[in-house]
Amino acid sequence: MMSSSFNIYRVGISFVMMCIFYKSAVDSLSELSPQKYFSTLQPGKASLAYFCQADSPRTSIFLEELNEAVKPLQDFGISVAKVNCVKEETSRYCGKEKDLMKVYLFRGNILLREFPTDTLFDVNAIIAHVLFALLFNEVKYITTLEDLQNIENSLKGKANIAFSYVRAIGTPEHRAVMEAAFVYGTTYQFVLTTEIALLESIGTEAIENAHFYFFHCKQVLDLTQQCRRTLMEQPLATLNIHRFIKTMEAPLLTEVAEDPQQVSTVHLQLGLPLVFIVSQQATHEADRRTAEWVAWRLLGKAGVLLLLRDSLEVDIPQHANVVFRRAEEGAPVEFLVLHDTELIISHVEGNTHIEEMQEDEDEDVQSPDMDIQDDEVAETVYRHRKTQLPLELTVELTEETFNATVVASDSIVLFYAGWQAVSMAFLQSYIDLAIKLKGTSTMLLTRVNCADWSDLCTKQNVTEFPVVKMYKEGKHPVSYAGMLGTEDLLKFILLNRISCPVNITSVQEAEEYLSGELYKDLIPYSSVSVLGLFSPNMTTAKEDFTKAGNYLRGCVITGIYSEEDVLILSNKYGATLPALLLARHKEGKVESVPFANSHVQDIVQIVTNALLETFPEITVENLPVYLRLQKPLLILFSDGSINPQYTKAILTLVKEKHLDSLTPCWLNLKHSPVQWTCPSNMPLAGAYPKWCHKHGSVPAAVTGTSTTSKWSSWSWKEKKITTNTSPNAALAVGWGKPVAILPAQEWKPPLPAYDFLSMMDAAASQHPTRKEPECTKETNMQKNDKKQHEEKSTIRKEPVETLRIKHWNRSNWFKEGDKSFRHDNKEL
Amino acid sequence: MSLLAAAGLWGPPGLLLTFALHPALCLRPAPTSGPPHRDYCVLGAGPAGLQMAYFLQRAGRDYAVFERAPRPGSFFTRYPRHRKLISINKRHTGKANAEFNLRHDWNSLLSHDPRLLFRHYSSAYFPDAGDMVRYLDDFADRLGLHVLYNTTIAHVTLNKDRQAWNGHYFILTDQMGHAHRCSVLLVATGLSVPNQVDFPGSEYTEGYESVSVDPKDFEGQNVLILGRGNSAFETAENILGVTNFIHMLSRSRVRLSWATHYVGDLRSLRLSSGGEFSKKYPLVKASYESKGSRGLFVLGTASHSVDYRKSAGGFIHGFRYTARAVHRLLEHRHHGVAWPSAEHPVSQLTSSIVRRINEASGLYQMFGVLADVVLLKENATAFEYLEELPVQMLAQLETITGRRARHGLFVINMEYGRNFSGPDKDVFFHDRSVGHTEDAWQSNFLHPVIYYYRHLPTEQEVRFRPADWALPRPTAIHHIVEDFLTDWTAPVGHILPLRRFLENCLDTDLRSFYAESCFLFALTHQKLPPFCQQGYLRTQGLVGTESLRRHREERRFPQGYATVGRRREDGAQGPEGGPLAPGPPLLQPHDSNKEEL
Repeated sequence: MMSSSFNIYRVGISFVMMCIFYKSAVDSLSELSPQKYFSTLQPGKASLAYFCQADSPRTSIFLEELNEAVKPLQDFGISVAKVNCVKEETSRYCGKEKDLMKVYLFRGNILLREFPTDTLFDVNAIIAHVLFALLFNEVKYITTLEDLQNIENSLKGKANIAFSYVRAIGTPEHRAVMEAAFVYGTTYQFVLTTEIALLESIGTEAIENAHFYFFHCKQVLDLTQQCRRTLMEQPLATLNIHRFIKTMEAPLLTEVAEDPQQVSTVHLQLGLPLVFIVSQQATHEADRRTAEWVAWRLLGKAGVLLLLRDSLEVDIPQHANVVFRRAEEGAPVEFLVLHDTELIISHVEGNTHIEEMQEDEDEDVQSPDMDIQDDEVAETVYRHRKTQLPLELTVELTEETFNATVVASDSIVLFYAGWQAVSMAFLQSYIDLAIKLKGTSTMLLTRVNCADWSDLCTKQNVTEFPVVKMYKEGKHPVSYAGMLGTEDLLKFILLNRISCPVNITSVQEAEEYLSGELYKDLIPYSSVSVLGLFSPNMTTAKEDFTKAGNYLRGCVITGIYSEEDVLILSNKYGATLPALLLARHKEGKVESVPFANSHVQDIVQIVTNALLETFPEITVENLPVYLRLQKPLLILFSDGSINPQYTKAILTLVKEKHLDSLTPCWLNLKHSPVQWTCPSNMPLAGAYPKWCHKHGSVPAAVTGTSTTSKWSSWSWKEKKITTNTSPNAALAVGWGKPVAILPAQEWKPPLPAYDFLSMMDAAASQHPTRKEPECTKETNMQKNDKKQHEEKSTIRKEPVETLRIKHWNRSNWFKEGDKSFRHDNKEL
Repeated sequence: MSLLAAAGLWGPPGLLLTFALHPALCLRPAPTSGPPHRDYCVLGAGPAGLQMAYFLQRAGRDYAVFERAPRPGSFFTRYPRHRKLISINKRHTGKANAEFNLRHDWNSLLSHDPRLLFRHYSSAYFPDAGDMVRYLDDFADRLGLHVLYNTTIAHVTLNKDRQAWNGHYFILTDQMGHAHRCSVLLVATGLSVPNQVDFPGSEYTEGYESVSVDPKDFEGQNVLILGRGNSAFETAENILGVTNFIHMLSRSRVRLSWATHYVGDLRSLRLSSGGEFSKKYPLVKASYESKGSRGLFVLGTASHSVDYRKSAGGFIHGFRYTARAVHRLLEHRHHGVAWPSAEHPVSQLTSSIVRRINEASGLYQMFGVLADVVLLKENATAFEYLEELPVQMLAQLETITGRRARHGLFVINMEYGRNFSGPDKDVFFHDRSVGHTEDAWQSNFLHPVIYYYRHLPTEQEVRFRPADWALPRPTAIHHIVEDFLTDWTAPVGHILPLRRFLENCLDTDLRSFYAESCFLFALTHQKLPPFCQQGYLRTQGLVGTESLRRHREERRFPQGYATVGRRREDGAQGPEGGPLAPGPPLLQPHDSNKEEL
């Protein structure tokens, strides 16, 4: 103790000495005597000194670390010295015992902190601790949420906060934060905690590593409002923090009107991509809001700019609404059509690998997992595979039993393949049908697994799966061509119970047939009953009708009447022979259609048309039927069943032939998965009904455009299509401008495939000398084998290459390929 | 005194393939007055001859089979000398699929009659040759094949004639001096050239064709057997118990067929072959037509040159398929019947391929020689499927099949891994099997490989293809990862990667969808995925059941549902952007799918 006071005495004397020494001390740890050391201290300058007993061996590891810290600390203007406590020059900093040596931090000659050597366990700890001590005022260490809130509140409208959590003081992350604080400490309030609970209380999840938040408090004027927070997603490292803070400083959103290729912002310099949201005058406000939202989401990951299309001289593809430019020099600008802001974000995130490239750990997340089932049918069948089905309700046929069975009884046969998802999905509907029909049907429900009885299926001309055939009365089997579902197949089976056409023998029977009495139970499945009237000598016409009836079997009831007294019927219904009577049971009407000289196809056409409704409810099952008419659909969206008034109005319009070029229909939003089909500016939650108008692929006279599908929409009120208003007037207004055009994109492969050709090429080019194995001598074989296995394992590690033959450049997977390519280069 | 048994070839010293094809000097008069005419003449009523006869008969062609012996399969009445066949007769595979079972049936000929399967003739795993004779007899009888027995064709001449299909007729003269005129000559006489050895002392050797089969003749002797093929081992095994020593001598190491997967190599220390390839087999093209004379085809064992030491073309279980291929070629060449094919919409492409690779026996037995071909139609909306085409004839596909290949094609071939095969390689090496789909190209065992060509390869490309390649370099290639049970039906392990490959080759989406999804797409898109176009829009959509729908909802299929709705509020769209497509939906990872791997 006495000796140390003596030392202080001497400090002032050797002032000049110190200056000289300071210069020469660059890079390596200087060793000084206490006296000399104190003489070097400069006012206001920080200095770290390790006092140790001369030639103490136990300190060597620490000294190594300290030695390493010299350079970085000098960068912060902190000098480092090792002070040897020699006997003649004892200092109070020299501990008495060898193991109690300490490190001291001085500013000028004022002692700031003393550190036991074990807290300074490595270079990171040394720097972190030293800076932490020096930046005591700039970096606030807190332990409770309250502290944080107090700081936040006090800084609202004044300054932003850089808040970080590190697991412990002295970690590399702590050092990174302190280094950042050294630079930015005066600009932002740095707040540090090691309390995991504090981090949890602000809603951070998955806290394993350090976190760095930026609290945007400066722009908060309302004190009750919370500061917006941005989390830095990169690992906590000095460079990342620097980059992060730089982007926080950059303007959130910039408006530009120049070539995206030419624009340069701080983001590019920092290696971050740029996202341009394409806007135009008309939608500027909305686009700006969108862009701002995106910008907040991408803060710290990419720069967001609003690109004004109108004042732009360069050409941007018509449909592109987002332009993406990667930071890499010379990387092409990508024009994208992204319809969801989420897609923009995921696109950016999928394309950002600044640090990740080195870290190499996000590899799995980045590459799409091609082994994920994205076929909904295959997926549901797979997930359902363990559910036991009552398969015993249907008869399984084999090569041996097939012929005997289908001859002995009228049978429905489902041909399926056990490995094929679509047919397995349908098998479930088939079993459901068997449950419904249990004990009621004369039709035997059977099935053949073509995975087992391949030859049988081939013989029955089944080469696709699934196929349903009906074998009846030893006649040619009839293939079922309806929807692969329980209801439609049930209808097919039930309607096939009677022959097509059914032979009617008396006028009374015919009347019963037309009234629906004759086949009462079948009427729910066939809204129309068709009766062909012929005089007995019209053989060709009868034949044609019979053929048509056969063709239509399973979808409608047909009957034929050709007795001598046929005139009674034809007179009653005002028909000229040969004629078709169409009895519509719902409406209780019978209409007659003459069809002299009609061929089979025409008859079929007449009947199928008769089955169509004028103003149908569109369902999953019947949409294809109405699309087949090749007319644009005029859809009335109804929130529940339809108001009869609307129906009446439409029917009037139809009657007056105003809707001839359209198929008017309505859609019950309660029953349908299509709550969203109307275009964007129609708030669907609002007033119903809404009209949507869809052009099919047919040239649509209504809007004059022919090639694109468009949605037009307007509300009922606006158009006042009621019986009171002249329908002409309503339609004269036209359909208005389409509010939206349906996307015309092709259905592309959802994911790339493995590019085995490239993998094989890569393997071949790596080992061009591999010769035919026969040539190798026996002794070499073992070695060779081993080598090949090694090769195999190295190949495994490389990023999997993927294949996308066409449009390679334009697709998203391009980056994937590019990435693996770069990766390869690196390894080579 | 020791006996030297020169284990040569099996083959009766019958009609040699080295025909003297003398073009007749004088032009024959009109056909009516000439010798009886046949469109097709088949030489030999062995397995290959009968197989060809069967196809000709089914097609209703004018043909005759000429057989020297009084009954079919005379080879098997004499060979193998010790009466045990080396071709396995695996009667139970655990599967009902008849086509698949032919993968393990090495003795049956192809026919529509399930009674004519060899397993009904023998229960032995290595059956007796007598059963084969009985089988062939039945085959010819039951199917009513036109075989002229006891007719030895003594010589064959070529008679030029412009009218003839091939510019010449084949005039066959039998032992009675009767002439037969044929448009097409199909030679199925087997191999008949015993390997002649010539060295000092060779006069003491006894050939396999005449060596005694009675072990007593070798009692207490030292025996040297030349050759280490199947005949040699067969002989050795027979006399093993009674001799002092048996020495076996040969030029090459013993090749076991399970190491080379060449059935001509020894299987469990029994099996055939050796000898010099060039002398043994006649020169034929990949279409099995003689290089010298048009219209002359070589069938059966003698046609083995096409795939010698590679595939099974020299054996019943191989040449029954090549005979069918030759028949199909002839049907097109002479009768305008295009190669049989089935046309399907592209939504069936994955299934069609999966079906074939799982059951086709011809592809499996004649791997690398016969391959399936998928010919794409315009815009790849549909395709034609051609089965078991001689793959080396790929460049000539259009002329030999009568089908058009203008819009790209897939070739489905079965292959062993390149690193796997070869005698002396330890096939049981560690890590020999590949389990990951992305490593499928390194599969070692027989596995399907699908080649995609944007254009039909040219003859040049086929001929000068890279060494080790079964086919010219394709635009893209896909390997389906090997499976020990040759069951390639795993949804994620096999079918999914195949679908992705096909999708990326055709640049389309080949997923299947429920009707509800198609409905949604129909109302929100101008275009529909092929599955919806080819199913739903033709009122054949897949409705699905309540419980499947539930499963689907759990997974939020397709994701498009949700996102489309939300997008409206964003207002991110400029007018150009339009409302949004549920981009082809993508799923969240799901662990249960991984289970099967």
